[in-house]
Amino acid sequence: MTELIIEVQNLKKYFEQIINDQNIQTKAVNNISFNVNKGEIFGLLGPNGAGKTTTIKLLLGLLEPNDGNIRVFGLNPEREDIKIKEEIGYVAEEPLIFRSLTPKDLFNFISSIRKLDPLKTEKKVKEYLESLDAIQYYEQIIDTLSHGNKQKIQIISAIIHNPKLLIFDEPLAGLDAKSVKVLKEILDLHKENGGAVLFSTHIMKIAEELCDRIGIINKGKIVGIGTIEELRKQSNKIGASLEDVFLRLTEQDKSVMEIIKKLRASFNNK
Amino acid sequence: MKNKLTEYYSMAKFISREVFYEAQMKQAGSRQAKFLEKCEKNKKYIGRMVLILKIVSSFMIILLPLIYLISVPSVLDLLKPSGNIEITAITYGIVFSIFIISYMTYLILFGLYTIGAFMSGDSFNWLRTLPISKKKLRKYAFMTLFRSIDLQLISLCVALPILIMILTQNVVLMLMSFLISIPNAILCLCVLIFLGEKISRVIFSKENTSKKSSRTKILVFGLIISVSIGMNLILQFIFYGIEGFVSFFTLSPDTHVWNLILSLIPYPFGPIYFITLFISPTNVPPLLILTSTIGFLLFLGITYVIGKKALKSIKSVIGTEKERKSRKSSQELKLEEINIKIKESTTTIAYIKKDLTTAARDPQSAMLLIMPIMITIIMILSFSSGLTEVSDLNIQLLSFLMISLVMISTINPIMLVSGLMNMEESGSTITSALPILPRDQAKAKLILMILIHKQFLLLFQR
Ligand SMILES: Nc1ncnc2c1ncn2[C@@H]1O[C@H](COP(=O)(O)OP(=O)(O)OP(=O)(O)O)[C@@H](O)[C@H]1O
Ligand SMILES: [Mg+2]
Repeated sequence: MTELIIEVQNLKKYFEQIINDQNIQTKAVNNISFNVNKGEIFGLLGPNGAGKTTTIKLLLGLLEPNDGNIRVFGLNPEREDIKIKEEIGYVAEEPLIFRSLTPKDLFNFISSIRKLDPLKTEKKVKEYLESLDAIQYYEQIIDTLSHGNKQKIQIISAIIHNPKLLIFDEPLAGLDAKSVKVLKEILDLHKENGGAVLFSTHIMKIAEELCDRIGIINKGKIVGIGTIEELRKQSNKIGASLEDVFLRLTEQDKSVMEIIKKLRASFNNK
Repeated sequence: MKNKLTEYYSMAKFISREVFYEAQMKQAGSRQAKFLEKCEKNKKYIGRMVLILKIVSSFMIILLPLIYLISVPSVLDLLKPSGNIEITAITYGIVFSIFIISYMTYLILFGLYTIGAFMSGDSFNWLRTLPISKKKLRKYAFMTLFRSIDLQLISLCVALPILIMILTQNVVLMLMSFLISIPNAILCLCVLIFLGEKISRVIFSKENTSKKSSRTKILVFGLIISVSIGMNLILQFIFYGIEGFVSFFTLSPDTHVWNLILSLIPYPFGPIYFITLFISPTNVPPLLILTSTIGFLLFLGITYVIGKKALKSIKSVIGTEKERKSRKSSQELKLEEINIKIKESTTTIAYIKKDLTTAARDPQSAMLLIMPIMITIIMILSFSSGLTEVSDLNIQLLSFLMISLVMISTINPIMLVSGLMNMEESGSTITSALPILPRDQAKAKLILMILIHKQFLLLFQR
């Protein structure tokens, strides 16, 4: 009996923008449906601008959908976003935490907002900082840290309250090899303890190793969903790597070859 | 209940720090790297900056208007008690109204960027991802707003009482002025919130990329800077001419009519007339009591209405991520319509363009170009204000020209050169990776400098 953590049905989100004095509509999410179960790591893959970040923001109730249904822990993020956020650890695409604070102040702030037990939190923060090699930055202003270290602080700030669901938007961006390994271990541990994870990434190898199921988005639509085996079947590429499957499903495999040819030609003409 | 309030207050410390940081970064524009470096060296830097700016601006709010009094002693003579209540009322009404306006100007000047950063809502993006209810978020927002300019607001409340105490030594008047200072501070805060919202929409918005919006950006900058500096000039001139101005009213046979009319104007005269009633309550004609009370009530009403609107715009700050919704029909972007064009130009022109566009984009750089002109004008005006005592018109004119020429040819270029060089430092992140000859850079700077300088000379020949 699997328990549904995230349920998304026919989700739609359109943006409007003025470009050259014209009102342009972008269908960032265009009819997406998927589920994430308890004890599962779900990967969202897709080219740049596919709509991954938008989907994630909709799950948290940070954006209002134009149409469709979302349930997180069976709750509607538009109305019960507070309850949902209490159980979620969210890492945004760009560091969203207060960058003028030191990690020390930041963790203090979070623990008072989330009403955490100070002693337990202290222990946790220390463990995570040590395991991610970031303890020396504890009293430096976050904005002065390097990109990867900022990301580490953001990740720690998202997991110190033992959330049931982790939603990570490109968590690996900027992390070094060792930290990637540690983070993978953290995600696995979280899953073993009955938590669920939804994360987006561009690194196929990680997705292949880590994810139980993968959803591939292209231009706001799901073009493939399931375990890696199922994805291979959907793309008629038995035994292929996830990268090849991904390129096929997002219809980029042929265009990649063409682009390379064109680039070579124009480079030689120079 | 009280415990809760202090909790919000102490948590707002972090948020207001972030808001302040945001404002500093935005103001630093392309010089952010330098600002960051300072933070890196000293992690208390931000906290100290917050405190210093708060104290300095509070002092400025209280002290700057007093400077006019020292530089224009005739104002003190004006305020000497006279037997005639009508004359006293109109003198007080005019003089203190000017002060009230100047307080507001200084509050806006010192608070605009912080409040602008607050109203942009960027600092709440992360809070929105935490489990904080809308109601709590609103409380945090209020506390943050208050913490960002608490000292300034308090000094706004005591500035007028201090001034009145110095000038009149009348305790009743002082207490009354303290009472009206509170709604006045609220009104000023609301005006600041509106202006901050406008600024944040223009400066911090990312959605609109049309030419029109960047033009409005430049326009708004120009407007803010010239209004803030122009306001000072106007105040200075008013004080120099105030004797004549006041005597126009006091010598007029219809002083009492003027009093009635002015006291009906809710801002800034309403509250001031209201407190002048307390100089000698028994002597004031009943009609004036009536009109001043009406004026004061109107002032309270306006404050209430504006306050409500300001509350609404604060609430909008913490709402969901800002999205633009328009009634115009929208369409999908057609790839064929995008034409990529790169215009060919010489390095020098490219450089001038870069300087002008950075000036348009970040306020600090814009200041670097505009300030020299403004400061020169101010210097000329303040130096030549002493000329009124010279009786010979020709000598007056000649000295004025001399002063202008000296100022234009010395101060202006010095400030322009240092401003432009400063701007260079700021862009170093972009340009250091490009193969640019220093000579090309220098040429561009020179041309730009001569252009601005010329403009200025032409202005003065008229
Ligand atoms: N606030 C916004 N206003 C207008 N358009 C937006 C906005 N946010 C996202 N979009 C558009 O929605 C589409 C999907 O964006 P999204 O950020 O979800 O992509 P993504 O899959 O996360 O891409 P990436 O891999 O580059 O992070 C893009 O075309 C983007 O331009
Ligand atoms: Mg994204």
